[in-house]
Amino acid sequence: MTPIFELSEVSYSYPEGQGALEGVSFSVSPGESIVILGANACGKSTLLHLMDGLIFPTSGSIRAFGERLEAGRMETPALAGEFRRRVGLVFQEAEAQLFCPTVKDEIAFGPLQLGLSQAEAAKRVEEMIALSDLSGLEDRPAYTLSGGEKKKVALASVLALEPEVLLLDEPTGDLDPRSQTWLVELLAGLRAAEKTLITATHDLSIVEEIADRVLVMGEDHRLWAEGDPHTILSNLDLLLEVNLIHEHTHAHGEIRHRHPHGHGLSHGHEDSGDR
Amino acid sequence: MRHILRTQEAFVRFAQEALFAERWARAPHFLQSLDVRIKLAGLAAVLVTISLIHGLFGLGAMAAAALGLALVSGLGARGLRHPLWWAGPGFAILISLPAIFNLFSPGKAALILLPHPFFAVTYPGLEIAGRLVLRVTASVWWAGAVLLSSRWERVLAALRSMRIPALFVFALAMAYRYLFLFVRLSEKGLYARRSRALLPASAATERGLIGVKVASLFRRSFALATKVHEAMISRGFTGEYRTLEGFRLRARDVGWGVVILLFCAGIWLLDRSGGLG
Repeated sequence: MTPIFELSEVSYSYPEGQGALEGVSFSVSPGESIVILGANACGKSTLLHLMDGLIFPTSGSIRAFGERLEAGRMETPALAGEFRRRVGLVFQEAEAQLFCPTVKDEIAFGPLQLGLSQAEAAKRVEEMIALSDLSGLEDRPAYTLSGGEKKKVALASVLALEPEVLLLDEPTGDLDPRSQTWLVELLAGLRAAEKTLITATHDLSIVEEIADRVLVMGEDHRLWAEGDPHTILSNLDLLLEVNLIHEHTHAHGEIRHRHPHGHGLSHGHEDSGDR
Repeated sequence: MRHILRTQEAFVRFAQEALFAERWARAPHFLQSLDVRIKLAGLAAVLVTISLIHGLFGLGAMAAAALGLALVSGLGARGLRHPLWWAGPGFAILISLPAIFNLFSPGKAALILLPHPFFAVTYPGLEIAGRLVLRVTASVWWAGAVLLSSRWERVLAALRSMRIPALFVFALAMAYRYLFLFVRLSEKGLYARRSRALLPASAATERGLIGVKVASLFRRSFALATKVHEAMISRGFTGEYRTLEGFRLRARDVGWGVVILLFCAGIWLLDRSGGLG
């Protein structure tokens, strides 16, 4: 089966010369759910922007659906349109993604841009409003919404495109616990529907629930490890090394504990005490 | 120092009121019910007419018509407090003020301010200034009535349907988005500054901080505007604006177009014949 994405020795530097990615290689199969784990500023967002054809590698290559993803190709309206129809990106900053006057316009933007009729776009808006629990907010301007609501609208506006591949950049940021549960369940549903999901996050608590495979990026902008969620999350040395967890010291009476600590990482106290 | 902070707050409030005015465009009133294309075409005809009229009464009639339209379209009271209504005329008054004096507009004195050296407000000066202020006021008020009663996305889509080049419409859309982000960031910057202001700063320090803030705002809003552009591209934007509702020309839209054309032609002919004084 042709991989959806094939990245080969991809590096990227910003125009100011600041490196964001170094020699990253991996592939994504159809229907896979991948989590890209990494600390802040390790290059996760840049990687998703590259996979969405918004920017292009400084060196190395990316193939999407068997074709090389490059600037010339994405400047051809028909080819770009086909790619945009198949791949959707939910940005980390919902504020950047919401540029239409109302929630309804925001969700309709993508489908209309891709040539759907007004009736079809309106139908998708209705479906997304219901799916994302945004009823009553349809006519509100996005800037009046809470952080969590903005995130939901941003997600709905991309899901309205019905993409085969969904790229999610820190999707749990700004979400309260109930909305986070909603999101995890939504992603589980999309996984069951065999959508390809690529999620960049440093939130370890959602990894086991949404990932088939985990890629770990280091602060040196390189890919450090790849494996199933259980293997990666059990490797505390690796997680410490890439700054996804930290060592935490606290006391229980006279007993002082020192152990790894991070988002969604539980720990026991039975045998870890030292005085 | 306090007045510098107040000036910043006033600027942010002004920009917010100017940009976030979508609620009027959604109100169920007369102008809001018309096809945006007809409204824009009518506005173009009105602006051309205003530029051709010389008489003060003709210009005043155009401004009064805009005001009347705004009132029947629910833009009265709160709507008329929108900066669009007073900022343009206010600025025109400010820049035309020197023209009323005999130094720039010699002629019969309307009001002598100083006999020696002679310094007075003159009739020709008042006419020149009045013409400028009324022309600006009429233009801005008509534009205000049309734009405040139209949703921004519909305006962009209408411009494209009227064969305005995609690049121009795109630049307009991005400029609006840029201003939007600029205002949001200004507001946040203002609060951040206030929350960390432990002691009152000197006026010089405040001015310095404003300079730093302007530079930082420019960089931040530019970075965010780039992300907005990427988000638009990511969802298939190619420069064409499409909206959920299509354009449909109804009898009332055509009627409005005819009324506007007749009104413009009538005012222009009366002005030319001297019928408006």
